[in-house]
Amino acid sequence: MSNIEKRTDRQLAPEHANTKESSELFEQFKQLKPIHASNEEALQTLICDLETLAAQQNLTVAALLHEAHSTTDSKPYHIHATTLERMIGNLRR
Amino acid sequence: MSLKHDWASLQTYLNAHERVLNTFAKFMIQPRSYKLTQITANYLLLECTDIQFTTYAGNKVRVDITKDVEIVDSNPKRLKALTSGYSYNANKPGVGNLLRYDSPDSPAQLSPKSPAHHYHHHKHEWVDGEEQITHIGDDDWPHVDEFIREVLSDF
Repeated sequence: MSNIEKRTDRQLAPEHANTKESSELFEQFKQLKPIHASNEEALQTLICDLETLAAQQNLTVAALLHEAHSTTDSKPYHIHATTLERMIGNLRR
Repeated sequence: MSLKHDWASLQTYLNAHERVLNTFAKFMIQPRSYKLTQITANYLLLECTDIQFTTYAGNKVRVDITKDVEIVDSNPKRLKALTSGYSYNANKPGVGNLLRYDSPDSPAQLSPKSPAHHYHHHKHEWVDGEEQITHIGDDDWPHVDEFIREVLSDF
């Protein structure tokens, strides 16, 4: 690595630092297989997951998402709900 | 001009995320690792929720990080990754939310009823129970290390 590359590497934020070593996380990724073969298949599963989560809270999906976005004290199920909402949105893109 | 948030090799992307969590492990009550879920060949979910931190001021704060990662596999030997969505949340147990950064909603999520801030990267802050929302430039949202440093130093 040249001096210029070393200097640039130090200046970059950690997410972009040019690391060549392998990490446990990357090794973990290499063992993964996609859960779903298509976006459509993933979408249907995630919509079901969100409906199940809402039912567990005795809420409709709309009420759950409203609560998740407006609460001043996010609980783990709020975090899970907004993550599912975001994933569904990404898959519909 | 180089972007703050740009495509990187997936290996570099994951290595950096692991390294950042390790860097801040000494402030965690229990060291934590990311959970990876590969939804499809091109969509990875990276999450580490319920991280219990002790801040520089000695306060207990819960942090939840979730990131959607788009993967491009045009060269299978060198997969590339880009964050396509994220949420970084900080909550003080028994008190409530302190801080959250969110990516914009995807076009499919947006509707005429969507709040204006859902069209932008944005930051929620709760000060004495009052919520303030600030829009953030497209490439100005924080990396995970910047967010954790903000939580540790501000709370």
